[in-house]
Amino acid sequence: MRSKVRGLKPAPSARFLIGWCGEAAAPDWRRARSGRESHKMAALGSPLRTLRGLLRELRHASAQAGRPYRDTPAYQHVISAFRAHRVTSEKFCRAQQELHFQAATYLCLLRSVREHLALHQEYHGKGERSPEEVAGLVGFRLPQQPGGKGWDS
Amino acid sequence: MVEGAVPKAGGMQHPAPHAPSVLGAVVLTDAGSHIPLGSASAAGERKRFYQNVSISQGEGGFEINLDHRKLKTPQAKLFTVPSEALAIAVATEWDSQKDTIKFYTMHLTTLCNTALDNPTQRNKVQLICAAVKFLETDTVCYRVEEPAALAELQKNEWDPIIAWAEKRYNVAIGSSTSITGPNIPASTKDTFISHLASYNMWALQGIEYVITQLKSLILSMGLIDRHITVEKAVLLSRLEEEYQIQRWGSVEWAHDYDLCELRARTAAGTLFVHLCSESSTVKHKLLQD
Repeated sequence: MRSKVRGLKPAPSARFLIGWCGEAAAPDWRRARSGRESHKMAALGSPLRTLRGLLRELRHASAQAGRPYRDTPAYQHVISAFRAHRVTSEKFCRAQQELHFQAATYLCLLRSVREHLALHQEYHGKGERSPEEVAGLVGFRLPQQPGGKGWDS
Repeated sequence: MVEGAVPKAGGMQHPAPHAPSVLGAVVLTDAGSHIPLGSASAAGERKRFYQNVSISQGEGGFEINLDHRKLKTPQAKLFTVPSEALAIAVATEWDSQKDTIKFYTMHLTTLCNTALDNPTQRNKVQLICAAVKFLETDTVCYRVEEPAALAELQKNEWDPIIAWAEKRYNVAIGSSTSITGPNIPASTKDTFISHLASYNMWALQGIEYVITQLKSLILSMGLIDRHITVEKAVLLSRLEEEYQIQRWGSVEWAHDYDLCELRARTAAGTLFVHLCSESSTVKHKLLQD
């Protein structure tokens, strides 16, 4: 099944989940009566978006390994979990909600670890900086004194 | 061993370098032989020495294999986790390390190590007490009186989550502007103690971790019960900082750095709790709507 739609964007596996996300998630959000549930679902967003973000993060994470990210256990676990919860006759399925929350949490974890690491590399990972570089970090420039500071020989 | 520089007629000899010290929290053995921990920096980083990360199922649970070596905890216990999804996530953490292994980004691994080793040697009762004790100084219950805009913001953002917790657990919490904090009745504490007792030891380690990060029991319960997202919980926990940022601007290397780190730790803790407590959701049915 996967090979048939390999060339398509977005991630081919997401196509199979359109039915799930289109039926169960969006209409439920509009029809949800309980304020708590609609607030929660609105805060979580659409499962498709979460899935796309999660797959993107997994692709970043497995850039190190030689094999493609589709072979990683994480990718396969996520895809099979979303597929398993696709078809439901219930308007509001608790297991689906739990899965979506877990996926969103994992997405937050991967994303914030990546951003934290980037910030760390940028600001804390460069070792000793010269005074000019440090000033440049906060947008300043050191004053230039053409005649020297007086104590240089 | 450092040899002193011995000046010779033609020039100076360089002293011999220090032998690299043995560093690293993780000890791996393969049939008794140690992996040489050569060129490691002191900042908690090691070179990536493995190609493949895989998972296998052993007697105690799921294990992580780095190439053909089994991962072990800092106290040299075999690294086993009860949940396959958790093992996959830990394996992904190890697999996503590039040239160096950055232990400070591997929050799930750290949590598993804590649960397995229990370095603070606390039992279940002590963990629960530590967690519930946070309620007395819960962030969302501590209010300011001025500036008025911040007091208003706290009221608008924090009152709903307190109301949710009071309704969900049928307790009285309230908020306070005094320096001693809110007066939490003993019945409230007992309710939370008995609720937390329904979680297993691993999940409790995670819960206590999230509470320590967010400085709030109420926000942590909101996360555990899936009432709010991680981003929202972190926002509520850092409400005053976000208020100051809105007024004075954001300093990337401090504010964003702390924000990302708090989000990462909270997300890891929450995911850890959910993955470790999937079997105990049945016990909670009594308290739910």
